[in-house]
Amino acid sequence: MKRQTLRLSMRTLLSLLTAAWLISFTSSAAAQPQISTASQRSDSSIRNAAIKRLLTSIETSETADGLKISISASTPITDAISYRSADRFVIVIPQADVSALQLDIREVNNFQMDKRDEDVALSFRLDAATNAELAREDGRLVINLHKNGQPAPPTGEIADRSSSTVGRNLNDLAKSNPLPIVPPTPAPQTSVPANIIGDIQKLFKTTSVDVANLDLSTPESPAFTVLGLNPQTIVRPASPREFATSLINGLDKNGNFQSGLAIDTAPYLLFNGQHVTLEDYNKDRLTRFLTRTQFSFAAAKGESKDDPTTKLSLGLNLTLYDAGDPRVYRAGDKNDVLQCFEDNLSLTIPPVPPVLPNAPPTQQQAHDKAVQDFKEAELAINSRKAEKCREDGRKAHWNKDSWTVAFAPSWISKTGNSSDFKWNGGALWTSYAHGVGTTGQLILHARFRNKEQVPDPAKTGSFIIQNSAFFGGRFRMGNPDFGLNVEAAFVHNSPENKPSKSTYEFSIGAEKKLADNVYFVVSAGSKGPQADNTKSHGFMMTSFKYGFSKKPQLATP
Amino acid sequence: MANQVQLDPNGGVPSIDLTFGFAQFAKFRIFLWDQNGQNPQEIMHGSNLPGSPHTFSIGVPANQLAGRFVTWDALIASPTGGPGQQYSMTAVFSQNGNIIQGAVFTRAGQLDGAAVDMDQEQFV
Repeated sequence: MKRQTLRLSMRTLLSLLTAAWLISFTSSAAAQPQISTASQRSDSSIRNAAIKRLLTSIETSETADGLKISISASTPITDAISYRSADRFVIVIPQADVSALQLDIREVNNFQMDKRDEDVALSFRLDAATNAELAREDGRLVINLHKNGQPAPPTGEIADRSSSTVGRNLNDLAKSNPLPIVPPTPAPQTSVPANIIGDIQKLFKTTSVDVANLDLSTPESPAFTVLGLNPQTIVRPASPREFATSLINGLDKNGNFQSGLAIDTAPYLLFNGQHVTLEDYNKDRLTRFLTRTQFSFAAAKGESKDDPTTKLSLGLNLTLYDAGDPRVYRAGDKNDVLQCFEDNLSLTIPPVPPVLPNAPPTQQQAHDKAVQDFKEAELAINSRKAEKCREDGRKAHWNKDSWTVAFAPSWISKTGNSSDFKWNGGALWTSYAHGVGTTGQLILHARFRNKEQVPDPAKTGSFIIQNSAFFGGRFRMGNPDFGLNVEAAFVHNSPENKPSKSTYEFSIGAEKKLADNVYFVVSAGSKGPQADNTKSHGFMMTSFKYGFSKKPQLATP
Repeated sequence: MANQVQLDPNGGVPSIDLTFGFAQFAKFRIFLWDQNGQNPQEIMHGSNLPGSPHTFSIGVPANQLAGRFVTWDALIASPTGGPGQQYSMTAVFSQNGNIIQGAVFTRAGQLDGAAVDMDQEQFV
């Protein structure tokens, strides 16, 4: 009892300390902390986040002599390359991410996207009579398609073969030294004939992946999301000391934030993890809540040398309820992860004898070697079994009830000085998932964004500030390999100095897992009027999802 | 080199309390060895499933333990999996219901799905 009281007090104290730290940290950020860190910084411990660019939209439009494909990203795309491979035209965009991508592709034959490590490859079929050229236009990457013998449209800056310009067109290289014919996406081809898909797409005028795949999840690292970042390097401190060091390393000698810093941690485990036993976790709701709470912090500098702007954000992801939590013990449930561990994991190799206090170095070394061998052998026996238990648990509990909330306020300093930080809006997300039997799931989701910077639909290349509200829902029946879903969303946007607009989206779809990480998706639905004055329209689309996510599109939040 | 657990030779039978942090699952074994680090006797094996005991008697009177070793090894598995996780295992020795001074030993580290760790102490 005494021990429990002490633990509760410790928890309360740590919670208060964490809250106090958050408050003091934000206050100190605004008050320009006078922390001199130059002498404390260790090069090896500096882990500034390298920020990947986010592809934000790919759109097509007709030109006088062909078609134009415009690709927008969070930073200018200056290092894309293109080449022809057999009957396909391929564009590789280095260090790119598609998690925020909006697609509106028309008249492009067999368009595919493929994740290649850190890069994104886009490709489409191109007949022999059509040329494709890369260009840059208002910060966008543009691919102009036109028939042979016709000049490329005069808009934009045509890419040359210098790496310092927009792209390196490798067509000449490809012609002189043909590349092996390797389709950029090794996904199986659709069983629906391409011409039929083309006809369907023409019938509905557009395909739109975003409509058929609503993101109804709360972000695990809200601070990164609200700043539109996808950090390549995230610091996950293992101790309070490392946490503090990471923060200090993120400041320059004047106390201003340096280039992108991204920290993601579970603060309760960080400060008190050694005292959180599985028994405590199962007995105490507060312990579960605090243990699941995820904290994120991100700082991002301006994208060019002349832009001193610094943005920072704090984020919290709170799991209020999770009936599928694998740390919760469900005695007698054959798919319970802990029960599976209990039944299948074991130490089977004889123990390593202790090393004597006065043992000579050779004996000490032999003991160390025996310990290492013992650890490796036991892990070889048990690691796969443990993974199978987790996998079986995930499959059995995929649609359990859960409720998560995340929020992330953000601040901006237009000078880069910590004393100049001002409110820059924030975001709130919440998702509730409810299981229906063993094969169904209903997800309800809401999110609110304040002062979000979004592309101006009326002016290419410029941005506007808007507040937005999103309410969405999805009902799914199926299993991890096959699913049917119905989803709908209502969106209300309030741009600054412009009238507010509301729209809706609705779709019905099916998804079939073809192989690991490969899903075939077919969807149809309707989309309401858009900010760019696009009228309401129906749509139908088929697509393969490959490699972007190891989870099915219709997965739990 | 082994740490030492200072026993009162006239005190009661000592006990070991073995707990695992970061809400990780663990299977463990505890062994008692002679003064030469030989002839292991298993004191206990088990897991930390909720409801399972975590305090175990060494089973030998304190006046017969001087110079003997106690070791424990554990297989620790993360129920959630995923990168960046940690584990810790803490052994606390008690005698006559009181924690023996300086007899709290913690090992901690990173785990990638699962980890194996061990520790040893010598009674004096």
